[in-house]
Amino acid sequence: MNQSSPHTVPSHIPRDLVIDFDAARDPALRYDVFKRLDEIRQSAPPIAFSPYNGGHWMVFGQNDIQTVLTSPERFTNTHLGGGSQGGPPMIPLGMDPPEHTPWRMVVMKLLGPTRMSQLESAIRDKAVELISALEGLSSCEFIPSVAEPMPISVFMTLMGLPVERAEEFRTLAVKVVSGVSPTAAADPEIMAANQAIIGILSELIAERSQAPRDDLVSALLQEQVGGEPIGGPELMSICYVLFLGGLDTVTNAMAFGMRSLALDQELQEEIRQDPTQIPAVVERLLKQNAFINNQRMVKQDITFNGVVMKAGDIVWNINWSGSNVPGEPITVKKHFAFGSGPHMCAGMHLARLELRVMYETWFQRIGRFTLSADNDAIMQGGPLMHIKRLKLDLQPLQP
Amino acid sequence: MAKIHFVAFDGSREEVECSPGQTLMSVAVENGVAGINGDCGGALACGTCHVFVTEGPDSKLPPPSEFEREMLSLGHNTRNNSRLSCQIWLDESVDGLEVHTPESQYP
Repeated sequence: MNQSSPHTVPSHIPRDLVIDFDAARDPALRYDVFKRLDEIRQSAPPIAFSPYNGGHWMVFGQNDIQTVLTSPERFTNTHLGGGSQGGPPMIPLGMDPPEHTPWRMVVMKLLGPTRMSQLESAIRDKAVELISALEGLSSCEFIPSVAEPMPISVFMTLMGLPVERAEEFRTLAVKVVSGVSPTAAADPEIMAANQAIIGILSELIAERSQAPRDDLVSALLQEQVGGEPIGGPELMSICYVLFLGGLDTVTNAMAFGMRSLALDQELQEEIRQDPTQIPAVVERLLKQNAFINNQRMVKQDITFNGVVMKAGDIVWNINWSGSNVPGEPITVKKHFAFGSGPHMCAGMHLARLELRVMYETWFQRIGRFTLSADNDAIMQGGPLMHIKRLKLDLQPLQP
Repeated sequence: MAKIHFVAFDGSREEVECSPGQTLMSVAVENGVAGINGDCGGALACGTCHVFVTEGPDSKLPPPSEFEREMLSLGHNTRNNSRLSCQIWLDESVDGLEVHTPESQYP
């Protein structure tokens, strides 16, 4: 794809599939990413081409997204395998099966459901500490009060990183993941952030090699792939993916989910009546707010549902669209909040646990809540859509 | 055409016909069988198609692979007959297979 003229359309793209929509910087995305994506999909072809951000396909349909995410032989992740913007190659994210499978297993072992459930009491302690502090207040800034500190302290402890440097690390991770396309031109700020992350992780890996502790990096040092211990560059690559994947995603899931709840008094009341519904509510809120748009690269020239795609084309799956099919009831469980296929979010068990514990703790301590008046742009589009501010008006719990 | 008997955690039974070449997970998902998610679409990446399999006298399912066993070892409430249903490819020999599904695929 021609990087020097960002808004030209490659010759193989039929003109009737091109839409005038910048999936990262469209101004209306900043007010409500999901409302805007809903508007776009109603007028766009089910597989459309955006000339912005280096040019990329946008896939809106549930079945098409499922196919793209579960067909690595056609839609590869290896464009992430070489490292971009000065970052290391991504393992296991930048590999396709079968090479991918043993590396994925290593990460799954670190983040498996049984292992994660052992963290529940520590996670609950943190949630209680943060949410108790809001009891009796008439309003709160939810993101700095809960959505940022809770998952970050869990992640820092899990990785073995110093909790007091959480904010610094999160800023670095956000800078890197906000980059719109892995094939975009070099960005000095992202490159500097990557250098800083590599420095932090090198130090951490060196320290744990000398003196292992009870954390993920120490556990990784004990793992083997194909009968061999994991080498230095591969350790760095795995830690880099964990660092990027773990620092900001749960924050967004919490804040988007609480925004939906603040707008839905009926659902709030149902939870207050029956808190055992919370696991199901976690899924529903993830579905309603699927904020990640997984990217893939076309591996060889193909025709996909009648659309000619060339090797090297970038595809953005609009996961929210595939998760919220028009006319389908919200109670249908299928969603792509964690993606699907071989690269489905390995941190999903931790994310679900943190979300459940946060909602349980919240509903035990806070009464009815609504959105505070806020007419500013609070969201951001892109491959990882963000919510940057969520101010809530709170009422005390009714006895 | 082989028949599979699905039994939910509450004892409710469902009989589903399958065609050769499908996986047990895809048959379950296509028929809306309760208790199976299959979130990753059969990529051995999520463990949300965990089932308990009771084979009939003539059925001989191939044993789980190393990676399937590893995934099962990470999950919760596994038993000796636990399998990931996305790793079971169906043919005529599975006729009468009894498959119990868990109450939930998440801890």
